[in-house]
Amino acid sequence: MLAEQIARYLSHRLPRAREVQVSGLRRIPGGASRETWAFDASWEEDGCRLHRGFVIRRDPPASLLVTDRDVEFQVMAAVGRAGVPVPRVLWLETDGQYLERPFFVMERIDGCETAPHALLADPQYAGARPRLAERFVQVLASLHALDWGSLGLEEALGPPPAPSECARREIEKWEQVLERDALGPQPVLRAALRWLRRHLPPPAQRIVLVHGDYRVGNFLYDPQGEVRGVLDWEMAHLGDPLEDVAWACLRPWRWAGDERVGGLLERERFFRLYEELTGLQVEPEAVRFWEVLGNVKLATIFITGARALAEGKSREPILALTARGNPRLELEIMALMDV
Amino acid sequence: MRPHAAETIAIVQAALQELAREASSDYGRAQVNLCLMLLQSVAAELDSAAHDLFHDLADLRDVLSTARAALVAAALPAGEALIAEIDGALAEPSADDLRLSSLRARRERLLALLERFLCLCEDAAGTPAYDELLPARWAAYDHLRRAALRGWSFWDVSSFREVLARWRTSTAG
Repeated sequence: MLAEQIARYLSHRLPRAREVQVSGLRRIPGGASRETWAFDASWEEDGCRLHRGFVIRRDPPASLLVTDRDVEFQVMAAVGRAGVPVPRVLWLETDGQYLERPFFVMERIDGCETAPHALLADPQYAGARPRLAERFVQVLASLHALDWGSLGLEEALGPPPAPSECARREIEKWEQVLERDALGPQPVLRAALRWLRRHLPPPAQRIVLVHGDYRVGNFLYDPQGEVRGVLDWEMAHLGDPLEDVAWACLRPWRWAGDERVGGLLERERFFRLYEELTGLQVEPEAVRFWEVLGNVKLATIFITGARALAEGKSREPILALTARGNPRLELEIMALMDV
Repeated sequence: MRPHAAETIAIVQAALQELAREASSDYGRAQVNLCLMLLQSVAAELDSAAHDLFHDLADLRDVLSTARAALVAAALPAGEALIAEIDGALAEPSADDLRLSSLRARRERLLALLERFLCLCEDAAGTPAYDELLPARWAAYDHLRRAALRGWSFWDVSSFREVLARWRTSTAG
């Protein structure tokens, strides 16, 4: 992707801008579902020289997820208006006219970090950890308190499931992906899907906007312990709030290697804080159901990546590395199923 | 021939480490580090790959034999076709072609049968037949657990560190 292409694009999007210059174009590592690029731009407008930082999320040739960028863009725009910390999204391009592939542009939030290992190991963030642990729960609670109807999210996300259908709908969604993408037998995942059907949780206490990938590692944080932007909304949907609670607890995100959620806080404290803030009950057996499903979902996402590699649609090493980690997820699934 | 495959991977890893230091962007360094971890993962299974697959096949045949007996005892209508297919698979001679591609293909065939058995077990939960299937179900999951514990994953260095040590200890016991 060339800086000149982006400069031409900005000129189109900012009709009053003159002498648009793009510099510091760089690809941001991490994220296997879309390419993320950061750059600085400056231009003349009404006699002033303006400078801003931007981020582009561009569709890759193939990825872990077959997701709808339009949905991600619309959800980010809506939750941003409602006060959830997200990077402000600016423009969505649904074809390859400007940068070969579809993409959207958002404002860059500077002075932040996303890496879990920096949060847990860098002394700069030692003082921020207790506050971030609380903010992590508070932001999730605020997300689940959103009135998604008034935000117009039903239009973007489709009609909500009945409270009793949330779990079944997610099982079916990921079972279909597994059927489509599996390259060989998947005894643990297929048995787990049947186990899940036998262990359905109680109906959702409330239908909420589920982020779908809410975890330590998916938000921008600063050294003061503030969550500045929740990222990666491509799996957002309407459903059971406990799906997000359980996903945040998954072992792959327990970055400290022990049992702490996200490497940040004890599970019991996470649940208690969430209950206090939302008024919802975190029932351990329901969380167990959603944890099994979360691990199945994650393993299935990685299988989609493996298929992209096998079919020559991608050569990204992250897709190979994640797929080769699936045996660890299978171990976790079997442990959670108690088999 | 020297350097043999494992030594060659180590040489490539060392060269990539140098490249990572030379890379001028975060993205470049991250990509090289991902490649290094991938090579680590391949190196961790290289030496024992044929040995592991060979013993997997023997173990899978035992598990499927147990599963067959359980299916006969459970007398499930849905199990009849599977019994016939397990009979067919067990009648095949043991592996004598030790190429990894051949061993993998054989393992996939047996694993597909194990998958059907496990699905049938999970579907039978709560029925009288389930008790007959339980011992073979445990044997099947034990096999899958042993196989899943092998090798190296990038998660072993962080998220799975402590629990992996516990799982490995319990399986070794």
